[in-house]
Amino acid sequence: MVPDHNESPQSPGRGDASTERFVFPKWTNWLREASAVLALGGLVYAVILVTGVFSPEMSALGYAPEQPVPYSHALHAGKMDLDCRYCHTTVETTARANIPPTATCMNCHATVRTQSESLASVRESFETGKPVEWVQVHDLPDFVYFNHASHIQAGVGCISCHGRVDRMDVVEQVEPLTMGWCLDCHRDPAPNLRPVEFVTDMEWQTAGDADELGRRLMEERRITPSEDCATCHR
Amino acid sequence: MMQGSAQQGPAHGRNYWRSLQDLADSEEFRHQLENEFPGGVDAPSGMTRRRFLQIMSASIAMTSLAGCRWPEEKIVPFAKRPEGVSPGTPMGFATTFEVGPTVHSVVATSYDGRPIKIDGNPDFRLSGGAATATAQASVLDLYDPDRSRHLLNRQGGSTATTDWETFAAWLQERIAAGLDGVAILSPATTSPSVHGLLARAATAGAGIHMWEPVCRRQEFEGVVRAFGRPAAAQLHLDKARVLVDFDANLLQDHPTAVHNSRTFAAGRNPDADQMNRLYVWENSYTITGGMADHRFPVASRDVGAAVWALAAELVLGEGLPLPMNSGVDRGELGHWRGHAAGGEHLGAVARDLMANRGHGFLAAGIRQPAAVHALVHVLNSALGNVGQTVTFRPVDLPAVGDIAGFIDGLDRGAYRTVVILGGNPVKTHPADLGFNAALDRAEHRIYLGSHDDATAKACHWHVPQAHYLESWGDATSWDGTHMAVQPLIQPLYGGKTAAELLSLLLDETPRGGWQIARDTFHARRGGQGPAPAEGTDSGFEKTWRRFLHAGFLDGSGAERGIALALTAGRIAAPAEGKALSATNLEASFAQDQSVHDGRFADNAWLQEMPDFMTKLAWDNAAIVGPATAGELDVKHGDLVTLNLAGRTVEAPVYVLPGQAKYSVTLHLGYGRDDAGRVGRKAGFDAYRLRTFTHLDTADGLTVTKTGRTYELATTQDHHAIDAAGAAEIQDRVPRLVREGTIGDYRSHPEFVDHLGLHHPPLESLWKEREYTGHKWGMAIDLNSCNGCNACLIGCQSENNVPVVGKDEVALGREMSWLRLDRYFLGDPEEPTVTQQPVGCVQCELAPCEQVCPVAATVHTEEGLNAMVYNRCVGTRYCSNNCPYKVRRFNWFNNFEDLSATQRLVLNPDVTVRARGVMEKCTYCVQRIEKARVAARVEDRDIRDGDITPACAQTCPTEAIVFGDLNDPESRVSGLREQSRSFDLLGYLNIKPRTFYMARIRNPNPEIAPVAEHGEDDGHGNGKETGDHGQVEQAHG
Repeated sequence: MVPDHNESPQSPGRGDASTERFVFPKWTNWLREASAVLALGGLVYAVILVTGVFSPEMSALGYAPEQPVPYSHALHAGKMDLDCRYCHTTVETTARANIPPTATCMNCHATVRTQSESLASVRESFETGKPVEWVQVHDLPDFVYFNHASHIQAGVGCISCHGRVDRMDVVEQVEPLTMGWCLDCHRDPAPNLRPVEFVTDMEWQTAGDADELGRRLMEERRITPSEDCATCHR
Repeated sequence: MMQGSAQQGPAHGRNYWRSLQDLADSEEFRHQLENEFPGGVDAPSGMTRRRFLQIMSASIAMTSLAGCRWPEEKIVPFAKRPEGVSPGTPMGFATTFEVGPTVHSVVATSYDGRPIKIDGNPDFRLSGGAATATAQASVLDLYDPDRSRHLLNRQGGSTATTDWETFAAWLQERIAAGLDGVAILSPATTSPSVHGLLARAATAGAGIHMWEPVCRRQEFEGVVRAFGRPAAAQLHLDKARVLVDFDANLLQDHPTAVHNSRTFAAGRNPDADQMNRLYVWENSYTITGGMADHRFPVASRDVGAAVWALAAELVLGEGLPLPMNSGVDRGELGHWRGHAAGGEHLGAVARDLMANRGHGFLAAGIRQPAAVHALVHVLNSALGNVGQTVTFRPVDLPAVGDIAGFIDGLDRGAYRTVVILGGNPVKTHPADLGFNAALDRAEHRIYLGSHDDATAKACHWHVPQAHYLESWGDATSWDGTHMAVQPLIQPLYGGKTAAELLSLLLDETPRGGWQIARDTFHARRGGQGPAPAEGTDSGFEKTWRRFLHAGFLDGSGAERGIALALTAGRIAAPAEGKALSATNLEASFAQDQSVHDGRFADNAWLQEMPDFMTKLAWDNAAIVGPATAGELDVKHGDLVTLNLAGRTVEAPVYVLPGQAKYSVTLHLGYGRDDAGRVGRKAGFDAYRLRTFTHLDTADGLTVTKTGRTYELATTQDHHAIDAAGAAEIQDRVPRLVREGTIGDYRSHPEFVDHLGLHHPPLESLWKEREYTGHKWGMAIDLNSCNGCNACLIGCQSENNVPVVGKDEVALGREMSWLRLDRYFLGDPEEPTVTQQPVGCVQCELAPCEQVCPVAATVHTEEGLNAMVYNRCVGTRYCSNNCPYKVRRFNWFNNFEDLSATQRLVLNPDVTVRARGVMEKCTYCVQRIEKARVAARVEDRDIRDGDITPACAQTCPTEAIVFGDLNDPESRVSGLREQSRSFDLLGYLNIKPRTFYMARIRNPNPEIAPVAEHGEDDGHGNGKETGDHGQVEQAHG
């Protein structure tokens, strides 16, 4: 608070030319009100900022862009029960779960639904060699080096990050994929671990306690997830 | 030695210094010491802070509107994925990179179809997984934005862009009547395909001439004189106990330099029974000279005299019998005995060689005349070294003319059409032959070249040359192995190879590079006619594929070589010229470590790579010794006029310790005013002084001061560890680079520890962390490191380290994560040299982490000192607090101006850092993580040797070893246990993970030891007690 010395006859140093310069001039009094308004405004701004940054609206949650080919995971991976690795072949051994080449689609569609309207661009791609340009759904920042193989080999199921893809007609991002979310699992991976042979199984459930199984798997397979920055950023 | 000691009165009886400014404790050097970032930190370069804040506040407003979702990204898979290709997974392809007669067998890494890194081919005997700085930097040339992009046709002063088909049609019409009147000027090549085509062209009537500015012609002539036939000398340095190098720079300027470095280093293990010894005579310090146990500076022209003096000492002094047909006249030898060029220790060297007959090795350099080479072969034969340390692979030298014959043919009017197969001869030709005028006489001039350079501009047709990573071809290694050149990428700008251009001249149906290389391969296996069409001959296909997979045809070389018998005629003694003096200096022309003969002038990595000895980047200089500089009254950085027989150039002076008196070294390949944006302004053109009669050395050089100075950008005084002033350096450097003699080491294996500061047990201010998992560490062996800079370029390529340019280097803002500290010891005229690579040593109690206000540099569980770029706000406190000075700050957005093509060279596994961010060595953490994932996928633990940082991978001498210090079986743990290991600044108790192995020299006991260091310097002397006192006082 700015003391109201100007009005007080007892105010020490009043009239003393040498201390005059330490006293706020009267016209500065409006600063009191102004600072209160500023503080309030700042608080409102901060609230908007924080809620904005942390709101699901601002993250990519629910991102489900339209793809050039209306490929349905619900049909292929769900109803027809294709294994994820039929198409995403490199997921177990390399950093990336590759998007399949057109040739993989044509393994079946050379004979199945050969006249389908929605497959026209796939057939065209196969004939011309021009790739289908899919829209990336799960998009980490470029300074994050995520590796599929190490997670799959540790027994983290596809479902943990990608959700029930076997029920999605259009693939949608269902987890925030933020650093805090990654670290939650790195600090306590047990609930998300399963035997490696079941990683792609969307229906798998442990009969017993998931946590206990996870802890047993961690011990058996020497799973010690790192929380070091350099693990993902380099 | 005496002189240096008397001047400085060093406390340790040894006197280390980094530069002459340092030795003299000059004002300038003090300024460097006092400044963390020499050159001023807050100098506003381009943008002021005020302006920056204005833009920032504006950008906040912008981002809050536009920052809701990053842009949509596309995934573009193959339509049909080729077998074995996994997107995002790097693949290696073996191929071959040729620089004149030097052949590098390399593995090029391709990331989604673009070459990003070059490494040595681990399967090829002569490279063993190591690659030189030049070979590794060659990938940058592929993406050079100044490469020629079009086939150009220059007629009557106008330049038109055209294409290969038009050119081919024109050429075939022009030569329809035959190749008479056609001259082909080719740079040196080892390609059997090109040699075959050139031979066919000669038969068809074309004149074939060869011009290679730095060639091995005299070496081959020397073999012919001694043994009567041309052969390539195969070196087996692993068998040599005594090596004598006459201006040869065996560890760098030799076609098998990488192999030589490795075998030489292997012979220097101080724990083995026998350690080799190296004597070097040379004029300018080379890396081989730096590794010498005894180095004798002598003018390049006098090296021949030194060889004769040694021969005289061996034959007349030690009674070495001369074999049959030695061609040496005993009477003449007497004249040379005791010649000043040999120095006073020749007797000792001769006795050493006599005591190790059959295990010695002498070599002469390519700048020495053929007669000197012949005499060296005679001595090797007489000493029984031929067949042991040196063998021969007979070769057939192609019958080609030289550049003088080419010019003569043009002058006579015999050549009307000229085809130049690269090499930019308009820049590199000898200055005395009237090359340019002669070239102008040709009616049609065709130039195949990578750049639109001076030669391209002097020709009518300019065909862009394909980079080797875009080419099919072949090569022959020094041991005769048939090597494969295969492309990783389609030619970016429609480039062609020399073989393809020759095929256009010769073949009815011109063949492509693939067909030519295949046909040659077929012929080499004894096949007739063209190679079988693809898929028709499974046997051929199998060998061809094996050849491409390995990068060479196994067993096609002469690994052992053969011994040859002398058939020498009389070997001429060197002519003695007028005595050298300050007014009759020697000009000594040398290939450059960075730009070679000028061909790499546009390679920014090589331009910015500091010369291993001068630490000079972006320039060459007239290198003179300190005494000569004193007599000439010139200082470092003075711009002088060099006058050689009336030809003049202006050049800055660089005063280099250890340079032979009155010898001025001029590196070739700079001053390329015809180069692209990188090389255009770098250095001066020494070719303008170089004549055909004196390609290597010339007497009669004079130096006149212009009164002006020139700024040379050197890194030598940057990042000086010592902050307490130059006087302290004398005290500290012996602890930083520890060295001793083999005698010290054998009698006191613990001497390395005693070289350090004695201190009471260290207590930590911090709670120390336990490392129970992996504990990464690195050993760097100073005994093996010769300072070749390969690690530096390896790191740059792997870790996307930016290039900053000469001005920034001059300000001390170079970005290289690894630096090579070079220390001189002793007399400035005859110092010894030690190299020390320093990157981040990954301290366990890292001082940088303690001062970072935003936790941008933190420790990992395995003890890495990790940089988190996204957290860094650029306070630079960490760099201030780093005692090793290994942190580098991005003053600019160094990658901002790069074109999309230039960005292709970047390693996608490493973040590209932006402005305002600190960076440093990470121990190649991306490779650690890669090995971890690989181990996880295979369900096993990481094994020793799974992780090799880029610097260790490429080190020709295997001086760098990386591994787990918690694994008692690992190589690095074994080295840590050795008594030679020591920590840099260990007494600060910051626990560096990188440690060094002391250098052990093996001086001849007969000659005064180079580094005195015995009882005086050992334990219990006055100095060490003094240290105790200081430390105790500090603790009290």
